[in-house]
Amino acid sequence: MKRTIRLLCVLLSLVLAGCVLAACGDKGRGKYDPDNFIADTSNPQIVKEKITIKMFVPKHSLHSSYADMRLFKEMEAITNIHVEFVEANTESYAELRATSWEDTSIDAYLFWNDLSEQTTYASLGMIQPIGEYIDQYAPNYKALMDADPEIEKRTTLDDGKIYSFASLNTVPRDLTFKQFINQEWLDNLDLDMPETIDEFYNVLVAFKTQDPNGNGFADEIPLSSVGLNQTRNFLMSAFGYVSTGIEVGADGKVVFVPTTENYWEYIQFANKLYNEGLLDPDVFSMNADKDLAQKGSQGIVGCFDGGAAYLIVGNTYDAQYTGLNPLTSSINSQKMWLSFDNEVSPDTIVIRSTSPYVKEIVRWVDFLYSELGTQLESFGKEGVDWSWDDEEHTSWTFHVPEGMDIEEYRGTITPNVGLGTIPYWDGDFVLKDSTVQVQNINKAVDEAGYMDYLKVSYPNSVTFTAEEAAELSTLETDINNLVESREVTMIAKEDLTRADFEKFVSDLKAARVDRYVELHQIAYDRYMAD
Amino acid sequence: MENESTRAVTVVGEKAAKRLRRRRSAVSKLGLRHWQLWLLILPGLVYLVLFCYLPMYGVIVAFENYSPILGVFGSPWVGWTNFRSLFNSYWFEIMLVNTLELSLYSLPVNTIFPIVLAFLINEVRHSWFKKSVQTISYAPYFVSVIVTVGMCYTFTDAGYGVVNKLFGLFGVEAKDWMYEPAAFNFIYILSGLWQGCGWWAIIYVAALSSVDPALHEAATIDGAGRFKRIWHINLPAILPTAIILFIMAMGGIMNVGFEKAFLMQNSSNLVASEIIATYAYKVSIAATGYKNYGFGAAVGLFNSVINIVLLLAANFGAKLLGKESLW
Repeated sequence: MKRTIRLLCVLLSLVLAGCVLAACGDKGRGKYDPDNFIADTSNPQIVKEKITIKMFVPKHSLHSSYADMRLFKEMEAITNIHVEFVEANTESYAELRATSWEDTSIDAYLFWNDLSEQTTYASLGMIQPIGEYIDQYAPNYKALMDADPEIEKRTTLDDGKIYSFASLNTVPRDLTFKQFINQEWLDNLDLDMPETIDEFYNVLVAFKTQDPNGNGFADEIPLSSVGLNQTRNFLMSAFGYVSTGIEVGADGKVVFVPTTENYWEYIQFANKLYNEGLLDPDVFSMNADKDLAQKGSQGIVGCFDGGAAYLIVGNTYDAQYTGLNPLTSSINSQKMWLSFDNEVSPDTIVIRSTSPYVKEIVRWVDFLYSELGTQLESFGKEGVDWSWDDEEHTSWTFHVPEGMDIEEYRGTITPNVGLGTIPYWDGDFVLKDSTVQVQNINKAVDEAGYMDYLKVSYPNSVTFTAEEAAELSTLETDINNLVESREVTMIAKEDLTRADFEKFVSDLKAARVDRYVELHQIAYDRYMAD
Repeated sequence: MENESTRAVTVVGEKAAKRLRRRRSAVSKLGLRHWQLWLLILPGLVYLVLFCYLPMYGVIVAFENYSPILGVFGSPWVGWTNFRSLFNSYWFEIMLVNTLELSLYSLPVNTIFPIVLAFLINEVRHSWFKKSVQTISYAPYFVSVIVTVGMCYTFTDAGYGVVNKLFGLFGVEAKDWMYEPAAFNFIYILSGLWQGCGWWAIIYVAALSSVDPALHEAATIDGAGRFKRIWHINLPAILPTAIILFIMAMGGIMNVGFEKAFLMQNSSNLVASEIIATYAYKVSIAATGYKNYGFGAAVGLFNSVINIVLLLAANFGAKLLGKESLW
């Protein structure tokens, strides 16, 4: 007994000593050697002797370990910089990130640097302004900045300095949502693509009554959606607003769309569709794409929203669908479509002011904006993960190993899976993907012409002060809850009257929607004044 | 049991004290003469201080506009603002009523049904039958909440749900009951009862097994039937246990199971399913933009205060009635 205890004690002290040593080792990493850095940007290698840089990153469940990703392995070979990743689960990312600042050995934070956080850290002097370094050591990024003034505008904080690289997105299909409609059904019934909301209604009626899939049963569901997800934005845009939330009107005045007459038009229309069975009766009880895919894969859904048609209807029916173009109505003659406002987001990387490796990191990040970097970070290495189909490089094919899902495989190549962010999602390369399904999405976006009608509802780069944010947080939950529950009730109601809408608006007023709009107006005006 | 052993320890302690008093009166005043006992209790004390009392400083977050960047002590002080925005919220009344409704409905249900089940199990003669009934009735307790809620969704589905098929026999129109605000409380409590009834009954079955058989024999000789014996012997026997459990339940009245309400929530039943905890979750942790942790902490504090008040009130009431009480 005594012996066991003694043994335990010895073991414990060993463990403790180990911890202390480990802590020492952490602090004692090599001194910074300025001569090690290669300033010549035409040389892809960044340092002479290999160095290690520590970065904090969000880790999604689809990712393999960052250290094992093809992108970073290739980058290490090219740049001679080894990156040690501190991975934070995306579920508890915010908390982990907040506490990670105590670890001064972290050099940089890759991805998910939101603007209000940047402003706070910048004011505390905890992150490094990198404007000058970009001029000197980031030729690829600098060229993009010169081509698009928006990049500089979005990354510059109130103090006039730049603290982050922006993530850029030039792939049309990812700049908005897609509303798909079955072109073959339209052809079968000899109908034109609808241009107005009334024509759209007629199309839906025809879908329901004239058996467009020709199987002899009236099994068609003209319009379906998972909880009206983006379909509400599609319908709303016919009535003059691109979203059902906060939106900036043409005159620069902020409005909350559900309090407008336009919203009432939308509710009436959706209510009519629901009660006439044109809108899927299960619309509010579906929670996930797979619920809708169950119907879609039977070839009975006429129109729906989603990331890609094949995700809902499967490969069998994928080719039948195309993008439905923006509609107009009697109260709105202007075609418009919701923009995700994600072409330029100042969130790629921030460097801590305690880090000695600012130049190295700037060069390292700049690589991600080069042609090779763009390819690596989106689909991996040429000849291994993908290869050109022809000499002229007009298209390429992605080689997914047998039995592996595309996104699953990409998770072993790049962190651009599940996160919704990547330094440069370059249309020039990405659009050349020859996969049929992907080409179909590109075609749908192209045919519907979404890019010509994009409108931002409320700019993502507007920031709120801490007090405003705190006040907004409860207001927002109150108001969103109200809209969420009443939208369903009003649309599903059999005898909807104007009184229902008026009650809804007066309840919104009671939930202080005016203050909610006012706060957004103040922040928006501040943003526009800069 | 506990009293006896304490007394025994005290007696031993007094003897030791007599020996020591002459030598070290100061030490004895601190009670250090029982240092072995102190040592025994030390891990428990350390645990309590470290994990229950020390973290309580975090409650000041409730009075702050908390930002993880600035930390607990660096965040700006905002006084009662978080509480004010809770009370001023449009949904405050709705969610307070929803929370209290769920608690107040489930409290009697979850007290009475397990007692009845315990009585029934107790009356069963065949031990194998008794044991199987007990096992089967408490097995659902080990089903996780998410599975239970999934079952609720499946059973009440308008298309293929068992419940709707059953109702159909009586001419009731098929409905997605999980999307009906009016059905929320009922489904919540019924599924909770299904899960917990057998488990809670175990305590009462145990209490019943300690009833003196002589009482039952005497009552039978006096001509008492089964129901009379249950009423006059078994019920009084488990009443103290029931009261204690009831008081404890009162202390948890605002802590309605968050996970379950949250999982059962959807846009259609929101008016009935939004409880204080789910609302606080939306404002703080689940918020897409600014995560108002201060508000979340304020809600937690508000819940705790109400819980303590209710606990004390229930305890006081039980004392007044001259029955069992916590202290």
